[in-house]
Amino acid sequence: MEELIQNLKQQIIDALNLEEITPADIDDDAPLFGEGLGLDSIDALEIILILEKEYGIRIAKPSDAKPILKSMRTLAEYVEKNRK
Amino acid sequence: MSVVISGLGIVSAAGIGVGATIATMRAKRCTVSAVRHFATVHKVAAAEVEPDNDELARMLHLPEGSVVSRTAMLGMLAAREAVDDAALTDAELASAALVSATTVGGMDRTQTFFADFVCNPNSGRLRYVRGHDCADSTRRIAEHCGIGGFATTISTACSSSANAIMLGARMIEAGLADVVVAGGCDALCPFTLNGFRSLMILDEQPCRPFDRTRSGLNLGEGAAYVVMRREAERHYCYVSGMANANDAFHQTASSAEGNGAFEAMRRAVADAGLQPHDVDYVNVHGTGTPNNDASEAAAMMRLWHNEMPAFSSTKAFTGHTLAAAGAVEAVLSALSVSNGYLYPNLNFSEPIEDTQLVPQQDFAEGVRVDAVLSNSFGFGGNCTSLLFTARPCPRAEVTGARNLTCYVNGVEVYGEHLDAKQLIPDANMRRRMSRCVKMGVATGMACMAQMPAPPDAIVTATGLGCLADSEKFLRSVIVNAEQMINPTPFIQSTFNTVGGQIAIISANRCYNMTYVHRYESFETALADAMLKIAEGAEGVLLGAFDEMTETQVAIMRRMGVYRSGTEPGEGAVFFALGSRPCAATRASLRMDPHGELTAARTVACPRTYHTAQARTVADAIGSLVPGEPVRISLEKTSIVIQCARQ
Repeated sequence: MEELIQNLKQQIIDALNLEEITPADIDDDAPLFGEGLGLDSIDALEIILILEKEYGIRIAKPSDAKPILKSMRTLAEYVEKNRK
Repeated sequence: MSVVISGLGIVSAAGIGVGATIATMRAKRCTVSAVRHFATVHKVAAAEVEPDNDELARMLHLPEGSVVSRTAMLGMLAAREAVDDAALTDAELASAALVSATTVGGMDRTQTFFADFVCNPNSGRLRYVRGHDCADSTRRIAEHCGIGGFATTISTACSSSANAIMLGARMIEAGLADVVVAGGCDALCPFTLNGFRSLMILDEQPCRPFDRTRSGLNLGEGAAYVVMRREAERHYCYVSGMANANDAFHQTASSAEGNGAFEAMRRAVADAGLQPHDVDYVNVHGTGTPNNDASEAAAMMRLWHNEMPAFSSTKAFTGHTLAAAGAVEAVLSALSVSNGYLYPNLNFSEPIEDTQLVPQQDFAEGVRVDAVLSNSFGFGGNCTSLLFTARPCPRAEVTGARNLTCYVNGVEVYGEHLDAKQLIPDANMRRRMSRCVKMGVATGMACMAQMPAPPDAIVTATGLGCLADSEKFLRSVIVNAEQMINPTPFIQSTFNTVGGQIAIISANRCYNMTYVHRYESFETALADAMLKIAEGAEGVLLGAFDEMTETQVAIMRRMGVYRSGTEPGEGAVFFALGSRPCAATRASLRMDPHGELTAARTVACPRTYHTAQARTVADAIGSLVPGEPVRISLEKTSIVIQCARQ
């Protein structure tokens, strides 16, 4: 799980061009949206694409992603369970 | 002085022409179905115009083998209907202005070119890419209909043609034109289909605007134009109120409170000297996305509280026709006023929980409709409301627009001295910006900092917009075969991205407009900026931007554009225009279309790149000598600048 979290963090940093942030700066349990990293709806779409490209997970509706994208930990848990 | 609508033209999935369109609505026939005119891997529902390209070309009597974008063909068809309906004389047409709007322009044909070009940069037939830029559709519509006066193209995403109608009405009010044909056109093509799909806001079923279970929009395509003129005996309605406001919240999402929508509606009603309760029907933007409808409903509740007028979204008939949507709905609104129509909001069953708003669900006619408000909202927070009335409304007189002198109180040219980190402090905004957006926004913000007060209008001009983003997106659609497409380049390919981002950073809700009229983009943006000042604006932020890409240079070289001494170029230039001089004033500026003013020398604008006009003006201001006015020859007009200090 630790390794998956690290990989996901790096993939998100690259995809969202989070230039000044390193994986260590992202708290596993901090909210990704609004507070914390301050991501928005477009970032959510980019993360959904990461799930599809890297882990073969398809999410049909952005609203389905909401609970998954709460924090790095919820995201990693979802990927762990659903990866293909 | 009142502006009337005396001619209507409309083409959409609901039908070709006013008669067919109303028949579809009367029958409550949903037009949304699977995509037929091009191949796509996606199972999405869309509202396409029935004839294919060959049939459209035949209807327009185009010469055999001519390559005209679908966008332009739809526009030609609708504009012709409007011009015929208004029964304009040849003389009226020859001096009439055309204000047209589009977001995709010739992208459908460009994609045909690009599919070959991505494999080999020496392949791809150039005829498919010549009509790429937005101004091409405007030029073809003008030629097809014989419209010979001022022409320009507006592109502010989904509010584009509402803004085109607004500019046309303002020009008539200010005495700058007697007759204006205004509207917009957009064809459905894989670029937009994949763009909206990458945003995950397309409904696979027919859209359900304002319904609790709504889950997205259906793309449409089409065109619509209105003929506007001063007082005419035979007319549909008056154009009595208009406003553009910026939501200043997010590039694609609308604020939960509907701030931009509320401001646009409130100001449009006030502009006509009316009260919200005077509005009988609202043609809402109502795309059917969860976000738009919630935001628009919230804004409506703020304006009308519990006394909501009849309202409906007509998107289930026409699909979301993007740049054409504002004009499509303006035509429907004009018919609502003249014929007492109220249109049904199809596919509605349960209201949105928070607002409980219930739209009009049946086609009604013979209703007394004195005032209709039409909403059109676009990416970049661009919100426009137009108010159409049965009777004229007293409006503030606009005088002196023709001979106006304005003051250049600040100039900023993009260069290494601009620190994007400081000018765009929000790292989360900065990280997403492409080079072109960053260049334009940083220059605009630096120029705004020179203004004594926040601007009353932000007007931008570009030839080809954020080209690298458009290319990146188109390439990914082709190379990835429509799968796993990143949404960010699509969002930034919108021409009003720079203006919208400046509004967000500076929290500026004012008028925000973008012109995309080839080498004339800047001069028509300048004309709008000066008209804003004539209307009472004290400060306008006016800018131009364009980027150069390898692909563009390769294509232009193959076209032979650079053979005539033209060189590729790019840049961003912004001006702080003011109604009055101040301590920082660099120059006074006047339009001089007929060469009546005296000047010590004349400077010509090279066509090195689309916004070279703006750079030439900036350079001329930099080298001004007191007592020696300089004339700058633009494409269709000229301006005279001279030293002027308070």
